Amino acid sequence: MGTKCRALARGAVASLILAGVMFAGAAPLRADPTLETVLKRGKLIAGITYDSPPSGYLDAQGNVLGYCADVARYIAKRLGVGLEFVQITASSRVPLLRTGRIDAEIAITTPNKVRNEVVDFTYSYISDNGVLLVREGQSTSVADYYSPSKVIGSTQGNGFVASWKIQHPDAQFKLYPEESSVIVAVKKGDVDAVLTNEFSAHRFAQSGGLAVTAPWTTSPDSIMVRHDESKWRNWLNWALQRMWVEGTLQKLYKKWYGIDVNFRMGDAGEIQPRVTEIGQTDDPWKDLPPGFLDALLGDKSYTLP
Amino acid sequence: MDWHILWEYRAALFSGLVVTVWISALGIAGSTVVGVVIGCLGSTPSFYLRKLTSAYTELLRNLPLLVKVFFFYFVLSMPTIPAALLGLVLHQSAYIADVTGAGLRSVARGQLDAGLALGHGYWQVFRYVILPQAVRIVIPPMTTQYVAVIKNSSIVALIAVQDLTYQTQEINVETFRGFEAATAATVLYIVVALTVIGSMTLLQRRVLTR
Amino acid sequence: MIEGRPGLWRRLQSPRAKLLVWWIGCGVALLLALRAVSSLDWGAIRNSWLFLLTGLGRSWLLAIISILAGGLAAAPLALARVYGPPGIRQAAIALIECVRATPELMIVFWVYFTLPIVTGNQVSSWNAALGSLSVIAAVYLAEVFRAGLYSVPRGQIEASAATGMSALATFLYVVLPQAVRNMVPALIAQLVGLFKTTSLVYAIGVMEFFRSITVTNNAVFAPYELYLVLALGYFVSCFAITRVVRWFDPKYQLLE
Repeated sequence: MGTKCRALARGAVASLILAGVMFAGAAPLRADPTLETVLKRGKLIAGITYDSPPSGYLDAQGNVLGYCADVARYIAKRLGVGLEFVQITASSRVPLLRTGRIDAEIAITTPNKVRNEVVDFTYSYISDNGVLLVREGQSTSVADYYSPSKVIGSTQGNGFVASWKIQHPDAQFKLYPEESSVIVAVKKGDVDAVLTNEFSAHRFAQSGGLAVTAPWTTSPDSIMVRHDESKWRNWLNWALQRMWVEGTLQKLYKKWYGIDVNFRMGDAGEIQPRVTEIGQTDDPWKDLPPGFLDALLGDKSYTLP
Repeated sequence: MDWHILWEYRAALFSGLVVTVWISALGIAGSTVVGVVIGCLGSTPSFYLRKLTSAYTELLRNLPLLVKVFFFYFVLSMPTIPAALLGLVLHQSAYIADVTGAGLRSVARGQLDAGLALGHGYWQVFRYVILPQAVRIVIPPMTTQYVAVIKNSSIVALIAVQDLTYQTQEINVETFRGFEAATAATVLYIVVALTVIGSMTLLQRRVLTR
Repeated sequence: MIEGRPGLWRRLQSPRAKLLVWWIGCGVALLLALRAVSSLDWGAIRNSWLFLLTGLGRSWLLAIISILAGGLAAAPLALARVYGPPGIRQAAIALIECVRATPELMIVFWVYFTLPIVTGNQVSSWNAALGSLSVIAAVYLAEVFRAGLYSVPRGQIEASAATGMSALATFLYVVLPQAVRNMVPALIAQLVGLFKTTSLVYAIGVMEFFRSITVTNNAVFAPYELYLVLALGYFVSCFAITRVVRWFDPKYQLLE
């Protein structure tokens, strides 16, 4: 009995020590102005997914490709800074952003209320849909997967999971740390359907053995930034609108998604008046180097510095 | 710090704890059986048996647990819980085999010779002389291995088994209150480990007073 | 009776013959395995070998840096546990036991997801991986250091005291050198163990070996070939190092 009590006491003391260390180091979250930080640092640190083709993904040589990657490259060039990619997963994107590890998350995150309580979003720059990815030969009607006997797979932190849960509270889920595990799971039958976005679903289906259902929800995606950073968020919104006016955003959209843009950019779908006027100080907008735009819209955009 | 979410998610944490306990218990049982058998086989005089068992332990100990579990789950396409358990059992059985072998060897060789000289058969000597002493010696390292099984059971969260670690992640992504969830989960893991350590210590006392 | 050369059957039972049979058996098994493996499609991953090798190198880098950092943290812990006054000793024991009882995956998640939000400091996944692996390494190394310190025979300490050496001098010149020499195999064994544990940081997105395999699988979808590379990479690395340990100290039992 003595050893057990001593062991329990050890555990209690240790927990107290741990808690003390935690609280001692407690401090408010980062509140430095991001735009100034990025310009001073000379580098934009962008969070991007590595497993969501064609929006953000790695090829077999480790190059970062995708619509979001190219948007990030463009933004960095307009800021006149270098670029560093940091991989995010569905579950790590908010913590990485909040702790300041990334300046902006340029990926496929849909704004929702829960997220908006802790982070902020720019205008949409991707208009996607939520679909189900199923095995070839299985039903491609979404309604067939409403019943709780079907196991739904997805990544932890995926926004579709919360939406599906609201519509079907008794659904069964299996959530994995990353997309590739879910794809393998559906192929081998551990899950019956994968909640994912339409663009990526079609890409995954190309690897064989999978089919895509019709959309069951819309999924507009935005760039994610920290709370209470109007300057940074404004600049990103202006950047997106200027890319739209220039036509670059539409061309990148066509390059990666193969379709013309199916949404409208800006406030109520309209470009803000005077957004193309370059402001004085808080509005860096460097000229693009010659040849940059062509390279960006070409096949080898990942070779750009 | 918002500790209320622990109460809100108590059902999730509890079900995660149950899954962890189940997987740990099955893992401990399975790896003990397999490990002890292999360990005993490795202590026989047969050259080939010893070589085979050492190949088994070498192979399994030089691969990370994650690699084994992913092999069963992704490459062999086994369902999650059997894949996880098989990986866990194979992983820990290699260590337990070594522990058992060391325990058997540490019982003085003279005991075996003395028993044989007195005319008892090999298996009789093994059962009545060597085994009781070996069991006593082997309990502390066995306890370490059992705690390792409990800790390694958290791997199953990566293949979507809803154990304690998985629930921690779930709470984190739904409420962004990962710190509170992780604290609760850590405390629960420690409680499970302490229970096992306590039972093994009780067992050791029982065996000693025999 | 004249003792002739033993018959063939007796000769086959000698240790050397048995070893030969064993190696022949291993060779046959290897040939069969190679035949099975050559039927796979290796072209799919031919382009990625550099990427995968980089991942393997990163895993090793994580392990080595974490062992060194963990060793630095473990030394005061071990000293506190062995030589510390009663209050500090209990605290050290409590800390070590508490962290040892926590699953490694949990520690990785802690350092990456929860610690930064509480302390307000930024942490990249690489740094979080290093931090969590160092914490894991530290507690196990603390135990290795403790065993090393205990492995010095008591007689040595008593002899030093008898010749009038101070406690500090005894520690520095008598205990420490012998303890370090005894600890080397265990330290290398911990490095191997930590190398295997680096596979866990795949969960937080570090591009180490395991993750580079999964990413390549995403791109080319060749699970069997990639899995083989994965297993070979880990096995050959660990096996080579453990053989080195055994060369140093043939009797050492690796129970890490």
